Amino acid sequence: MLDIFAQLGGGFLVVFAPFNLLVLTIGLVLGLLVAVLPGLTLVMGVVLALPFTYGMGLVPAIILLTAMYVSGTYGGAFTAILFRIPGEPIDVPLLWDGYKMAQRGEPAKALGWTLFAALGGGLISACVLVALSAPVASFALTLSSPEYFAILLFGLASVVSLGGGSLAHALISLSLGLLIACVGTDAIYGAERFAFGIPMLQDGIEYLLVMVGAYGIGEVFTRLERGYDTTRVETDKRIRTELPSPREIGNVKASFLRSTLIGIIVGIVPGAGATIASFVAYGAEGQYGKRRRELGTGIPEGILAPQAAATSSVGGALIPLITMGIPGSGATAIILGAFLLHGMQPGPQVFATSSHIVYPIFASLFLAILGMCVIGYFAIKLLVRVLDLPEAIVSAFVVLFCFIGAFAARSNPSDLQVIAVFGVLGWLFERLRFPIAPMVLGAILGPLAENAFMTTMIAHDNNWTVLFTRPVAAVVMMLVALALLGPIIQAARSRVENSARSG
Amino acid sequence: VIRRDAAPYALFLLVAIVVWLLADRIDFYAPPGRIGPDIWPKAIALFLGVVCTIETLRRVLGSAKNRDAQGLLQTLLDRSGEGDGAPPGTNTRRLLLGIGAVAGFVLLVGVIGFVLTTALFIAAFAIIGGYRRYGVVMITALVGALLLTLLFQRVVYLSLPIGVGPFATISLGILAALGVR
Repeated sequence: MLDIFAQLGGGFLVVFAPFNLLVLTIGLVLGLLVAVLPGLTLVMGVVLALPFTYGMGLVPAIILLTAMYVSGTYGGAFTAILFRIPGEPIDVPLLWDGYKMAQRGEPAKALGWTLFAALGGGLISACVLVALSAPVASFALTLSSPEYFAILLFGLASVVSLGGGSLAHALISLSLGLLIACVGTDAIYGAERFAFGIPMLQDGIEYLLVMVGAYGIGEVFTRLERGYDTTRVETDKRIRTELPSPREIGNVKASFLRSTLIGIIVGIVPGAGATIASFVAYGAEGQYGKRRRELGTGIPEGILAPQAAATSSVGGALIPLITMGIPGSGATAIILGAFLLHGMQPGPQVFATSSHIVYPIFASLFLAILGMCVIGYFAIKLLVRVLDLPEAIVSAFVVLFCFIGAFAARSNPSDLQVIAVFGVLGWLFERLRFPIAPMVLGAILGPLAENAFMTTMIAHDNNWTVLFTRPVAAVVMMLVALALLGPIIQAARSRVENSARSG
Repeated sequence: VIRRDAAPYALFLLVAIVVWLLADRIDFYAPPGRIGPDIWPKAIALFLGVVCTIETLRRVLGSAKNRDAQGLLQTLLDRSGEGDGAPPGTNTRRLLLGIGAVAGFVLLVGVIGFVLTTALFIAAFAIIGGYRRYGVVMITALVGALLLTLLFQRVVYLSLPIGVGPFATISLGILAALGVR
């Protein structure tokens, strides 16, 4: 334990270096701005920042992206509460109680509750990240390829069962992502797959191109087709934040702790991110909260629960990323991309080989959470002014940043064509109500899963039953089955209930 | 009669069949008794094919009117009344022009260079997006293109395309004026 404190202290010293502090502050401001702007999502923001990290060292690069990730879970609360504009899907639950409290004439109080929830939830999750990462990494060292394959399969299954859209659409989207990852030269035999002799395809399709195209340009096309909102938002009202008193906090401590725990657990599960955490925590409040009957009328618990869960999911999501190299969400996938671009593969060995990098990242999360709350408290009025920017011009810049981000990764002009194609595909997916996240996660986890599968088969003479005879793999495979069957059982139950009600 | 809403699933079923056939033609050498690089894509194609066959049949047989199995987030959104999200857009002309502007950027950037293409793209996209203050559009396009060039050449050290022929000369002139060598 003392060793962890010493290493964390060293990490703080690294983050306090002037350049790292500057990068941290820039990341926080950008994350808050991205979260405030309705046309930009948290994941898109982190994607757009990626090219700026190429010229940096690994530590400042990860500090920048992590700061954007964490502050992106908080900034959208301002516009959701004040103007009923959720900057992100994460912030939708804040409309129900946060906006109502503001309408009742207590906007400062509502903003104070989000600040407290983000600060408290975020700091607790950062502590859990520090405490759990080393033991999880030690445990991960004992795992072999069948267990890794099962865990990756669980990640893929959970993005399907926990995400948006219908199960069939999510499974189709996931399959396409996995097939995209097959394009190029295969890692074990060196065989060319689906490249048709085209040099651009022989190198494979980078998952960053899939992400930038489908998330960034696809979203721009979708909003362009709907038409940009030109209504000006009245931002010159007196905006301030009023923190809750210790007594008020004491009254909601159970809700706060429950929601933070939900956020951390949901964050750890691959495929589930801040949005699911926010909704699940609000749902749990409606089920188990002391004042569940008043939920939706503008009570503090309805603000506290989604915000604490959303911010605390960040610490949870970083655990599988750092200890097993498995990104569980869009934002952590980009952070993994930054690790790989800087020549470091996160995984079980990380504490033995790179603790000088891991602990500054941990320390930066604590400082990012404190910093975002300070910026949010003092600069909220300035931040919401960004809503005045014309969306048509902002979108043009988003497309340009997507192009430059894609170009910067490999300096290959053909990559621009690839992301334009994925942009159209992303729009088409949105139009046909196919979720994009499974395709993106399929493209990211596909090569890892195939590698683990092939290694398992080669090492065990094509005996696939090892996935069910080794204890850890068998338990995880059972979770995979549960994850996939859960939505089907749920749909069947609601069909039975509906027919019972109508019959 | 094939129902219209079965079409996307039938299309993806076709994709699955094509992938399977292409995977069958992958050229490789594997030691006897060892699975090859065709197994993984074939497994995914089979999975995709099964899902699409079920969904196509459900729609053709009319059983798709029953509620679909869906992800947890979708269930939570439905319960909250936010499940349908924003309605799909209707401005196809604007969308096609936007796609055209993006395609134009991709095709032109290698020919007329980053600075000029970027300025044209910002102006075109803002106007396509419905922004009508042309003075602001022009200034934003020019200043934006120069700032982005400066940012990516000087801060990120990225070598951006300068174009060919006279456009390369113009780009180099602009870069020199910005102090970029």
